[in-house]
Amino acid sequence: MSDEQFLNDPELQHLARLLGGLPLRPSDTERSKILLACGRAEGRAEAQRTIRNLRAGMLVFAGVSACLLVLVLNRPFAPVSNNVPETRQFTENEHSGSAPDTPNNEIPIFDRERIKTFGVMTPRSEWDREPQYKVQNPSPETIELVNQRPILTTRSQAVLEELLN
Amino acid sequence: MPISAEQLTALIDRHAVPLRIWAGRRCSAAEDIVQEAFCRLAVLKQQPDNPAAWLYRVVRNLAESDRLSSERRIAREAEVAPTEQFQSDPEENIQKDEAVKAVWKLEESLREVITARIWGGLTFEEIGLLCDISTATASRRYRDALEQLRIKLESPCPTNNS
Repeated sequence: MSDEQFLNDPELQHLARLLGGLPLRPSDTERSKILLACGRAEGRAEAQRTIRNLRAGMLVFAGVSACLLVLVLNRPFAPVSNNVPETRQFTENEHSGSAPDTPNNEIPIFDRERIKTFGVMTPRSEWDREPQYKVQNPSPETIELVNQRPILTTRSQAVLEELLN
Repeated sequence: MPISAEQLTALIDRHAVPLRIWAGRRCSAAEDIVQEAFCRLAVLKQQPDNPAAWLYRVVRNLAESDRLSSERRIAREAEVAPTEQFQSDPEENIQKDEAVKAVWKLEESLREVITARIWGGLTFEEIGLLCDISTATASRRYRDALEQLRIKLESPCPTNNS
């Protein structure tokens, strides 16, 4: 049932149809103006949505960063573990002839029995403990080897050759 | 789903001028208000079920808001510097059709009903919701408006013959 049927007067119905057929269209300029304004509004809304999303992302990122920073600052620092490489003695074949940087009798050998790896669960009382070393006693073979091979410098070798000649 | 450009253009073609008549004399900037309503429709993420009814409601609210703020501004300005008020007639920008002029000269309550009914295509129930009146009142105002228009349009044009 049409809404117009309540109008009993056919003249009124005709008038309503005539009015509905009036070309009430905006001018081209007005239409373009409204469309331009709509486009600008849409672009502005899109930009605002993007900025809002970026802000939310940055807030989340900043929150996570702050939490991590607090965790790192509150975490106790453990000392760096002493990773001393295991020493070994030189054999005769490996001897290059140059004097070692450290005398053999002073080369520290890590005390394996007291090696302890520091970790997160290491109690604090253990941290300040200095690593323990023991001094290796030179073996008789090393002493003999050193006695048989005098270390000669260039100058002493020249003096020896001069005496022999 | 937002409204497409084609839909928006069709809505502008169909409703821009009737919406200016609908805004009527509530405000002095009906053209700006209609444009603002279309802008708001364009940025909606989800288009309304009935865009025409949505537009009529938004234009009415904006016009009412504009009228109130204009009244406050005019009163404030009158206190500071009482000068002669100048207001442009919105009718000047609307097509000079005899029927449209007759509609424009109708009483406000009748004009908004007939505009929403004929050019907005709204039902009397929707018009009642928009104007805060009952459906019966809306249909009665519509009939009254048509009768007044018939009288105005049938009357002979005034001549200068004395």
